[in-house]
Parts: sequence; structure tokens; C-alpha cells
Amino acid sequence: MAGGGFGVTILVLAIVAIVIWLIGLVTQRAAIRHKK
Amino acid sequence: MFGLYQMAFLELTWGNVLMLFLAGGMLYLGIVKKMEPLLLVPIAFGIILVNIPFAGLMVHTQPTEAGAVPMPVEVHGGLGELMKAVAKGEIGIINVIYQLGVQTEIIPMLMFLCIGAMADFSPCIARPIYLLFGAATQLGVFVVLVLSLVTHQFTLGEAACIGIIGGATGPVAVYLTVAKAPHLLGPIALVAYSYMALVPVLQPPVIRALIPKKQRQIYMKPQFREVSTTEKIIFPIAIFIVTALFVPKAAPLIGMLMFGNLLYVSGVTDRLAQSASTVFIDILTFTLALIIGTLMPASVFFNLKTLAIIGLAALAFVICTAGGIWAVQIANLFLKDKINPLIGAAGVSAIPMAARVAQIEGQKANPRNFLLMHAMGPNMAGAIGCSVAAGIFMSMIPAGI
Repeated sequence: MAGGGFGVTILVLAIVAIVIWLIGLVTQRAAIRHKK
Repeated sequence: MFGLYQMAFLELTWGNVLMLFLAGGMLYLGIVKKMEPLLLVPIAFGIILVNIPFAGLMVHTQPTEAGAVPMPVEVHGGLGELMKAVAKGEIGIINVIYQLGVQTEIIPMLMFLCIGAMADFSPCIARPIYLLFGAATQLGVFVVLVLSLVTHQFTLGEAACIGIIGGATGPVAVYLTVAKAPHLLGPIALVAYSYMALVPVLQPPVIRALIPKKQRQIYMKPQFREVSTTEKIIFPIAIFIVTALFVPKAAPLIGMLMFGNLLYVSGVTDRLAQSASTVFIDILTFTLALIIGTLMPASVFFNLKTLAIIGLAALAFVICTAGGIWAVQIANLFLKDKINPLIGAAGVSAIPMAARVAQIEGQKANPRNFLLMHAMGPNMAGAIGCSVAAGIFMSMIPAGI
């Protein structure tokens, strides 16, 4: 149970990190296009 | 003679006296040494209030079974019933605030909202890998859960509440303990908040043991890429939706944290964020800290379970610190631009003490290094990780275990 719980914690935060990274990518590209 | 039978002297036990000395020590640390005074001073005074017999501000049950822990007396009914019981002397005014504010989880949840209203997640947005370091720090939470169970002294719910102390997020520890082991709220909250104040003492030996000097010297540029307002606004919404979908029981905690953060970053609710991050959190802090102190009569503190909690909680802090450090060291195996492992230690979410420890240790190893802003990333991410861990415990541990 403990191992599974720790694994889920890592997994959830990893997915969150990927989502945040993607959002950052999209917003930065939109900002560059807007400047052009 | 002069109504001596009405005085408390004859009822004062050695346990009460020792608790008064403990409270004195905490007041010294808070007032003279200025170690987390906003927490230690009210906690210490709460301990004094409850260890004077017949003071009546917080009335506990008198358990009849051996080893049973005294609990605050509960009165069923609404506020009217509670106030009648106060008037009759059956309970004290702090019992009322405890029953209405802590048992209902209102106070810890609102505190988390206020913490969100002060939080700057820019380092996490600029470098999302810091979120992983905050997650890895929760290693100690789960290891100590297992170790607590191995001692055969604690139930699963109690072990989870002891483990969560390692996450160093006070409101989360209070929230989980009220739900899964309310009889241990006094010792667990006292230990959690005390150890948070002692992070500058607990962490450096672990840091020096696990991080070679060469790694502590790794230089990190103090600037991040610029984080836009749009990203800052999307961050709390995205975090809440993703974590609530995966761990629904973490939603109350993460929801409050992220709502507070949205108030802060939206740019249009500055008044609300200002109130939450100043007056409101101050009121909640001294109320909760005072209540935590009053949960520690001598009969609760001088108990084998409490002493075991003190030891296991220290271990949780150590392993959580180690978890964050190891996560960075493993990440460095794959990264071209190395990250200083000191910021992994800041994943122990004692905000901002753990980040300051990373900053100080970093400057000792390399005076050019300014790690504080980097360390705030895992520091804030640790609060999210700890909430997720608590949500997992809430869903996996049935009530009454």
C-alpha cells in the first residue's frame, strides 16, 4: 500500500508537471506569434 | 481555610509541572530565539492553559481504560447547546472553537486557502521538474507509515497521520489527523509544528551526509525564464483539475490551496488575497496554535505513543529530506544543466524555512550561489505533494481503522 501510494504521488505530480510544461510551451509560442 | 479546597495546588501533578516547563522552553525558543514565534508562542500558552487544573478553558474527558487518550469533551447539538454547556462549566470556550473549527476541518482548510494566497508558484511553472522533487520528498511519509505499522503500536490511520508529519505541511497534518486519528491530534500537531520550527536544526546534518561538497557547489543561475500572467492564472486551475481527477479525496486541500493562489495571481481580486494573506491567516494561526497547545494536558503528552510519535516524526523529516535530495541526484544523471541537490531538500514543505536552509548551505559551499528562488519551487511543490499523499490516505484508509 505504501509503495503504491508513493508511486501514485509521483505519477500525479509527474502528469501535473507535463501539463504545466505543455501550457508553458503553448503560451510562450502564442506570445511569440503575437509579437510578430 | 480560605477555601483551599477550591485551589488547584493539590491537583497539580508532576506531569503538569513538566508540561509547564516544556511550555516555558517553547516560549523561550519563540520569544528569545525567535524560532517560529507565531506558532510556538500560542502553542506554548495553550499548554500552560490546559495544565493548570480546573482552569476550565479546555475540558478533556477522563478515560477509564488504561492507555486511552483523553479527548476534548464533545457536546452534541448546535452552537446554542455548546454555549449552554460553557455556562454550566461542562466545557470551556476553547472546546467550542475546537468542536466548531477544528473537528469540522474548517480552520485547517481556510489556513490552506490563505497559504495559497501567499504562494508564488513561478519557479514550478518555469521549471516543472521541481514539482517532481516535491513529490519525491513524500518518500518519508510512506516509509514511516510502514515503520509505524511494524512497531505494532499504531493502527493504519494513526500510522498515516504520523507519516504525514514528514511532509511538514501543518494544515494537511491537522486535516488528516482529525479525519483518521483525532485522539492523536494534540501530539501529532504539536510535533509537526515543532519540527517545522526545527527544520534549520534537523536538515543540515542530513544535507551534509548525503550531498558531497562538489554537488553542493553546483552553481545555478538566479534568474528563471519569465512566467506570464496567463500561465500563473492557468496553473492553479490546471493543478486542481488534474489532481482532483486522479485523487478526488485530495480535492478539498488542493482546491483550497489553488483557490487562494488564484485570488493572488488573477490581478483582479487583490483585496481578497490581501485579506487572506494578512489578517485572516493571522487569526487562524493563533486560534489553531492555541487549540493545539490545549490538546496537550500532561496525560496526553506523557504517553508511550506520544514519545514514539516524536521519534518516528523525526525519522519522517530525515527520510523526506533524503527523498528530495536523491530525486535531484537521480535527475542530474540525465540532465545537461545540473541542478544543485540542496533544492531537493527544500521539498520538505516547511515554507520558507527549508528553502532558507538550502540557500544558507548553498552559500556556505559556494558564496556565488543564490538558491533561494530555485529552492522555493520544490518547497511549494512539497505542499502539493503532501496534499496528494493525504488524499491517497483519505481514500485508502477506511473510517475507524
